[in-house]
Order: sequence, then C-alpha cells, then structure tokens
Amino acid sequence: MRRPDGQAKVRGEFSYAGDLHAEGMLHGVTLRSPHPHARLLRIDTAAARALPGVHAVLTAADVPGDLHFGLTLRDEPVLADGVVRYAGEPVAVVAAIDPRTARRAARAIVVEYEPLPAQTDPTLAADAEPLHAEGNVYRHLAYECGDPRARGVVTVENTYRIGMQDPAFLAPEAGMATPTADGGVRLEVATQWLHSDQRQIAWATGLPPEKVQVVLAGVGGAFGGREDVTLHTHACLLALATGRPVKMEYTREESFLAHRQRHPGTIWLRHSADASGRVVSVEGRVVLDGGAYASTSPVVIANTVTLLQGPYRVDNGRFEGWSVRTNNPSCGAMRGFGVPQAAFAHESQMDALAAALDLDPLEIRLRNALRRGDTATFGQRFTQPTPVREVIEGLRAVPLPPAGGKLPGGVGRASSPGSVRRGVGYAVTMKNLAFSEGHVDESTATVSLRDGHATVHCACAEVGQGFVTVAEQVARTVLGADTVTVTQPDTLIASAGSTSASRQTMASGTAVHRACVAVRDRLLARVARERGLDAGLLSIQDGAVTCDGTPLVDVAAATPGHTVRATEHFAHPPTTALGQGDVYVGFAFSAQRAVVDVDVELGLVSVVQIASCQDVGTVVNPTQLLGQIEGGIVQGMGLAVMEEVVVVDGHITNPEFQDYLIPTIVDAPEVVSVYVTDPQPGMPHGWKGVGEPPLCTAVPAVAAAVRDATGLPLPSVPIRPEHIALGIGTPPTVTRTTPRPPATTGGTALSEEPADRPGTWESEGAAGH
Amino acid sequence: MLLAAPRFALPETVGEALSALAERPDAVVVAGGTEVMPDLLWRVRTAAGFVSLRRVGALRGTSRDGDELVVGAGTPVAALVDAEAGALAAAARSLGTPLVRTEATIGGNVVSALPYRNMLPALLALDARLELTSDTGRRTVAFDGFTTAPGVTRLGEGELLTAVRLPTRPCFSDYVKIGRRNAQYVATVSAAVVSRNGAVRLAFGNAGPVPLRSDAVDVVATALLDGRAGPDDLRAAVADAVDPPEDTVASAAYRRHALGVLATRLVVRAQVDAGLGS
Ligand SMILES: Cc1cc2nc3c(=O)[nH]c(=O)nc-3n(C[C@H](O)[C@H](O)[C@H](O)COP(=O)(O)OP(=O)(O)OC[C@H]3O[C@@H](n4cnc5c(N)ncnc54)[C@H](O)[C@@H]3O)c2cc1C
Repeated sequence: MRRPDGQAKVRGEFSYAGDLHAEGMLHGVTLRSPHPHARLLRIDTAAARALPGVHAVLTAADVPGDLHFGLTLRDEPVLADGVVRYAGEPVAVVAAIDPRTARRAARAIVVEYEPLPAQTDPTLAADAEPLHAEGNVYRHLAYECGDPRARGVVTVENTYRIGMQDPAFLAPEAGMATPTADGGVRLEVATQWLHSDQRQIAWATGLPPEKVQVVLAGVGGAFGGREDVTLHTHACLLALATGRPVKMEYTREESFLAHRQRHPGTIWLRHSADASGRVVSVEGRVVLDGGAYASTSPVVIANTVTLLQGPYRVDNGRFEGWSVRTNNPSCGAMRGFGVPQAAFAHESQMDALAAALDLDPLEIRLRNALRRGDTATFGQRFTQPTPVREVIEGLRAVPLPPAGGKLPGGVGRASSPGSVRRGVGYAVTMKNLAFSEGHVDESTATVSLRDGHATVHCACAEVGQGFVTVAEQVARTVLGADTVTVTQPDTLIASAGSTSASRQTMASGTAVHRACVAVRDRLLARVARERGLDAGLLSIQDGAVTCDGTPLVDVAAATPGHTVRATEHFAHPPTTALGQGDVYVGFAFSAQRAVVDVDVELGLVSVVQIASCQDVGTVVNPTQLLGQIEGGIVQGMGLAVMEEVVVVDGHITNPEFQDYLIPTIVDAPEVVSVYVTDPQPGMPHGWKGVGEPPLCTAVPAVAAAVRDATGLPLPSVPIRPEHIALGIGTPPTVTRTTPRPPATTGGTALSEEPADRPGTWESEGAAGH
Repeated sequence: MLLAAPRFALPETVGEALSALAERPDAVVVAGGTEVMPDLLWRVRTAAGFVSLRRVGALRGTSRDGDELVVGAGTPVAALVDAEAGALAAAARSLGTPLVRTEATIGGNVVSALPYRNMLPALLALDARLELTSDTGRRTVAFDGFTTAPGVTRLGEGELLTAVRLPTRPCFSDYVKIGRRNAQYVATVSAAVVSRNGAVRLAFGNAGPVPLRSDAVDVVATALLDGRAGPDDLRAAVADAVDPPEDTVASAAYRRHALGVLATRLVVRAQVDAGLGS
C-alpha cells in the first residue's frame, strides 16, 4: 500500500501549514527578548499601534485569560510578564496587513530592559537565586534498589556529556487562527497534540475549550518540537482582538528560538561488575538543563534516570537526577525523550567494563541482558516480551560491510585511504513506550463505512510518521474497504494524545482497529439479518462478505447507500507514579552495530554502515518501518557527530542550517535493518512503537565505533573533530575493587531528600569505597 | 518583495553594467545572488538597488590569452568542476550543492572575500591575477593582497571584477577543505597547493582574516617535497604562519593543527604526482 500523502509530498503539492491562506487575513509577528534574563521596565506600543496597516499590538496586559501555560507546571507566560527568562522569549505580538508592516511595527515597540545576570550553568541552578516563583528545580528524584554499595572485582566510572539537539524539522512553525461566529476561534496549525493546544489556548483566551477548535494543518516534521505551544495562542489572541484571520509563520531563526530542544545533560555513572562481566551495581546521577520554562522537564528527567540501567539486569543501585531551570533555551520533548542521554552514558560504561575485563562488547551485553520476569531498578516487572538477547543475536548475524566506501570528510577530499582507521561499535538500548507515570495514554476513533468507502476520524496528528497509512491499512484489512479517507484531525473528536513517545500506532492505531471491528460486526449483523444468515458464520475477506468461507457479496454492495459507523476508545492499562508499580506501559529493545571510518589526524568521521536489530512487535508496514529506523539512525548519528545547538551566555549562536548541521545524504550511512517480532500483548497484530529506539541506539553505537577506531575515551557527544584530533576527553576511572556482596536484596526505595547537590561530582572520588 | 526594492538594472554588456553602476552608486552588484540573497534575507545587508550581471554574456566562460587562462567573473562554479587546474576544480566541486553551483559565480566568491570561501586559497596558490574594470579603464592586479579584511577587497568604487586570470604553465595543483559534515559545509579550514618545477606554493583558507600564504611555509614545503625536510618541519612552519579564528565551530588550536596536516598531505600528493613519493 502506498502512503496516501506520499505523492503530493514528493511532487511538492502537499499543503503545509505555511501555505495556509484566507481572504483578508492579517499577518502576525512576534517581538522577542534579546536578553537571556532581564527585567521589563517599560513597554510602549503607541508608535507601533499608530503605524498604518497595524491592527493589533498585544502584550501580557492584553491577555484576557490566564497568562500562564505549560505542559506540566504552567509556569510560562503567554507574553513576558515583568521578567524575561530566555533570549527569544515573546514579549509582544503584532497583527498587520502584511508581514513587512507587522515586522516594522514590532520594531517600533519600545521595550526598556534592565538586564539581569543570566544563570546558564545547570549544575549551579539548584542552589542559585530562584529565577521564577516556582523555583529552579523542575524535579528531583532519587531511589535505590538492593544494596548500592555492592561491588564486583572491577568498578568503572565516568562523567558523560550530551549536547543540546534541535528537532530541526524542515517546515518552521506556522498556523492561522480565525474568529468563529460563536465568539470562539478556530486554529489551523502544524502540531503534534491538538487537544493539549486547545486546552492551553482556552486558558489564555478565557474561552471554554469547546469554543477553541484546533485543526491540524500540514506538518513538515515534528520530532517532539511541536508538542509545546508556540505561536498557537498568539495567533488566536490576535484573531480575537482583530476579528480577522491571522496567520503566523516563524523564520528559521525564530523556530530555533521558540521551540523546545533536547535537554543537554551531564551524567555521572559508576558500574561495578564481577569477573564474568555481570553487573553487580550501578550508581548514577543526572543533571538535565531544562532552560527557562518547565515544558516536559519533570517527565524527561524520570526517563533519563530510570533508564540509566539500560536493557540489563541491575539488582543493586542508586539513581538520582535533577532537571533544572536556567536562562538557557527551554528544553522539552524530542524523539527519545531523555533516553538518548541515558543510552549514551550506560553504553559507554558497558564498553568501559568490557575493556576492563577484556570481554567482547556483545558478550558482556548478552551476559547482562534483561529477560522477561526480571524486575527493573525502579520496581516494575518485565512481564511482556523482553527480547534483549534476541536483538543482540539478530544483530550479530548481520555480516560486516567490506572495507572501503566513502571517505571521511566527503566532498572536501582531505582524507585518503591511508589516513583512515575503521572502527566497529555496538549499542543496545531500552526505550519506554507511550505515556508514563500515571499519565493516561488513550485515543478515540470514529470509522464509518458506506458502499465500500471507509472514513476514519481521529485526532492523531500526522507529522510524517505515517499514521495515515496505518489507519488506511487497518480499514482496508478489517473492513475490506476499497477506498479510505482519513479526515484531517481536529478537536471535534476526543483526544488522541500527542504524536510522541512512539505511541500512535499503539494508541490511535488500536482505537481505529477497534472502531473498524465494531463497524465490521454491525455490517455483518445487518447482512445476516437481511439474508437470514447466522452472523457468526460471516466474515470479511478480500473485500467481500463471506459466509463460512464462500463469498456472498462485495463489501461495497453489501448494504447499498447505508452508512455503518462506530466510535471506539482505547486506553492502555494505567501506569503509576514512580515506586508504586508499573511506571511504563511497555518497552522496546534495540541493538545496533556502527561501522565508521575515521581520519584520526583530522578528526573526520564517515559512518559507513549501521546495522540494526529492533524489537518491533510486528511489521505493520515494511516501508514505513524502515523509514523510522533509517530516520532515527540518521538523527541519532547527527547527535553523535555533528548536531549541537551551541548556547553561549544564554544565546543560541547557530540558529540556522548553515551552522546547525544535520546529516546530508552524503553523511547518511547504509542502514541494514532486521527485526525481532515478538507480538506485544493486548495490541492488534501485536504491534508496538518503533520510532524512538533507533535514535536512542544510534548515538552510543556511533560513539562506540569512533572510540574503537581511535582508542580515545570520547565521553561527550556530539564528538567534535577536535576531540579526536587533539584527544580531548577524560577516560573512565577503572578501579580493581574488593568484591562486596549485597547486604540486602530486592525492593525499590524512593528517597525524598537529595543525597547530594548537583555539581559536587568531583567529590565522588575514586570508585573503591 | 525583495525585487520591488528600489531600482533594478539588467545590463547586457560590461559597459552598460558600469554605467548602471555609475547611475546607482549605492546599488549592490548581483551575480549569482547566492551571497547577496541570503544576506538580504538575514538582514545583514541592505540594498538601495541592484545591478544584475546575469545577462552580461561577456562575463561568462573561459578563454586563453597567451599563457593565461581567462575565467569570466560571471562564470558559474558548476562550469569549473572539470577545470584543468586541479585546485580550481576541487574547490568548485566541493562548493555548496549542485543547485548552488549552478548559480554561484567565481566572481561572487572572490568579491565575497570571506576567508572560508572555497575559491580563495585555490586562486592564491595558483597565483591568480584579477582583471578589474571601471569606466576609466581596466587594471590587472595580483589576487594576493586583493582581500584586505574579511569581506573587504581593493575593488574600487564603480569597479567590476571582470575576469580571473590563471597561469597555464603545467603544474600539479589540488585543494582540500574540512568541516563538521561531509557535504555542503563552510570550511573550518582549507588549503591549496601548486607544485611546479620542484617548487611548492601553499595557500590556506580560514587560517586568518584573509586568504593566507607565506614564503617561509613554501620554503619548508619545497624542502619536504624533495626530502630535505620532514612533515613535522612543515607543520611547525604552518603553525607559525597561520592565525586562525577561534569560534564555536572549532578552536584555533584545532585549526592550526589541521592546517598543518592538510599542508603535509597536499605536499605528499604533489610528491606522488611528481613520482617522488610513494
Ligand atoms: C546553500 C549555500 C551553500 C554555499 N556553500 C558554499 C561553499 O561551500 N563554499 C563557498 O565558498 N561558498 C558557498 N556559498 C556561498 C556562495 O555560493 C559563493 O560564495 C558564490 O561563489 C557567490 O557567488 P554569487 O555569484 O552567487 O555571488 P553574489 O551573491 O551575486 O555576490 C557576492 C558578492 O560579490 C559581489 N560581486 C559579484 N560579482 C561581482 C563582480 N563581477 N564584480 C564586483 N562585485 C561582484 C556582490 O556585490 C556581492 O557583494 C554557499 C551559498 C549557499 C546559499
């Protein structure tokens, strides 16, 4: 089956949010703070308002509803309120007859700032002067399991750093808000989560949610960066203030300033293992820089901290983490949601252990692989398929690529075969699927069928991942529909949750599946009634209603002119708060092997091949699955070797694609993808999420391969040429320890009080005590 | 919207272009526009009018004049990817993307005068000369010294770069650049070599505020070519001669190191070409 939106996208005919247009529409622009931290002394909009063609100039004082919004803490003002906390924070918005006039008006707004010291070091944030009434710690969590002081014969520790990655979707934020006849507003916008937008817009506009309609406009990539509200509320406020449709579209630079990035982080890890390589204990501490406002920082930190164990059995450990507020850009959801950071750190540690014990990197991973029935450090039992060994064995079976291939440095031709060393690296990761920690993960779909044509209505945002294909595939398979329309998602149906967390095939796919099954059963009941047959003998096969295997009538002709419709809801079994049971809905496991060629003298890397074996439940659509694997791998290798939002004193220095580099097709490796298909219980066909694991695994796999080629420790990503060429980076501390068996076993205990403050890791000292 | 901006001239000859420029002293000359247009979009440049060289046929294409190759300033980079001078071809091939190379001109690259631009070290190593034309006549100057600061050249008011002249005497030449990805990137640093009759001439990009070469480096490079010096000697000479920037892309230390590596590698390539090395 072909992707329904594929042709239009390839031909350039697909209508993206940036293409939105309405008769008489106004254009909105945003005035942003140039300071990472400043007091707003005065805003004077008179000159801007006086310009011909300007219809509205709004500041915080003009927000009719609640000024604050946010995905978790509601700590972010719609427009700056007395203080600006990051460079790029919206201070005022303008609507005018054309973008030029609007920009001119924005420049005419007089803002007096009193610059304040910018708190940009996350390790100092927790103890620093509060930047916000909500404090500087978005969340601190700490827990222990077993006896964290247990030791094996060797202990390795190091501090790992992960840079800030931008989702770098290709179509900058855009949307158009239109006032509605009932005094409400209708927003067409490129988003990941319509109902979350609706709720937050309702807060700010003071409208009841039902008067805020959100409709999905064509999305050009998301990767988590569209989970938070950006221009949504501004466009709606401007439309309501002017009574006209208002379109907003960010420039590339604004896009970098406005949306959430991946949390940069520092992770200290200490692993102790016995002589066979079995991990005896793991201790870890994490500080994630959440930037100026909370977004999903309180949730992301839980992912990072809890998944520090990786896909390995860890009976003894202690884990602690902070996500903190700074005057850096706000960070939030991005593909992997805290796990790539953990994965880079724990896989670096597994390789360090393997090296210390002279073990093969795959062997040490096999010896520690989680199995079904094991218990996680955070107390959850792995009751579902847990095919860690299987993905490792599957990966091992993929042959290595031959020598040669494209040289490091690519078109610059600085390398020659003689200056290049090959490296091979492995990584295995565990990614939680769907929402966690008690957040309800649900979706609803309505399906109708008439004369063989199915219509699917669901609020699931298609952001490129291919839900439209899955929905159509399900409708064709279950209903025998000839043609399928997946309607543009809107808020007229119940929430489908966010297109994130690798969750939409599981949540919305299952809701669509259930609705299709309900429609099928109603259709068959009707056919049975009309023909006096036993409905139990009827089924749909190859587009026909069959009775006991014999075709009776085509689905398209079964009930002429009659519409059969059903709405069905799906929710995963509930999850719980950390320490109280099942924190996560499920997990996916992934193993990768990266082969790289490195020009060590110059620090240039060519990623030759990445082989992947992933636990995917079932292969729903081979092309789309490969698309997720390839895309995730390329985005992960981007983080490993080039992608970094460089923030200096609170300012992004590279908010454009000339200096924020993402891999080109010349950089992209050959991808070999194989799968383990162990069906996920409770899911149609046993499907499960696939979108995030390939990214999580590619980061450590590429780093491991570059280490293998260079012999360098490389504890930070992205790995810069100078890290390699000049040998920058501290190696792990390896200590031969006296074995100490655990004094206690089992159990997970949360601790409320910080065991220590972040930033004091130096005092952690040598590993032996 | 951008083109609705003040006056726009579309001359067809160099003469017309010069008069158009004389009438609009504040206008910006546009060749391929691959520098000018992004600058306007990013608002790092304003324009009170444009003189487009797109239709000036005489500025496009290459010809021979005695022992010089004359490359019209409006020649697109795409037309140079198979140039006989290896350094020129390599610099052209690694510039931007196919789409950019189709529009980008050699003249625009030279006049942009940014130290990381591809063509500059290649032209410096090749000892190019520039033909500058104004309504008072034509002068020819050495490319060496034409750039005086990042983005600043000795091009006079009302003057156009009309051609780049390159010696055609046989030589080995090559160009390399490095960055943080493998295609479509700004050079972190770059280098070019010309080796002719046993003498080596090296030039470096983003090794200082302007394209850079040094007699001291060339003496050591020449010695390396014929085995009188070692790679470390050349690296040391390069490290002394260059003054690379420190920025968020790379440290000055890395650039200095990499320039030494590139220099050595280029001399080794010259050696191999001359049948001197392995
Ligand atoms: C996506 C992209 C990638 C790029 N990649 C690279 C790269 O890898 N390497 C690289 O070096 N560059 C790169 N560039 C920059 C640019 O393409 C080149 O510098 C190109 O050679 C500029 O030529 P142009 O004709 O487009 O210049 P224009 O933009 O037309 O002009 C550039 C400057 O030169 C002046 N000028 C042009 N012609 C003349 C003339 N005959 N006489 C007097 N003044 C003149 C103009 O007034 C202007 O100041 C890239 C640009 C883009 C958009």
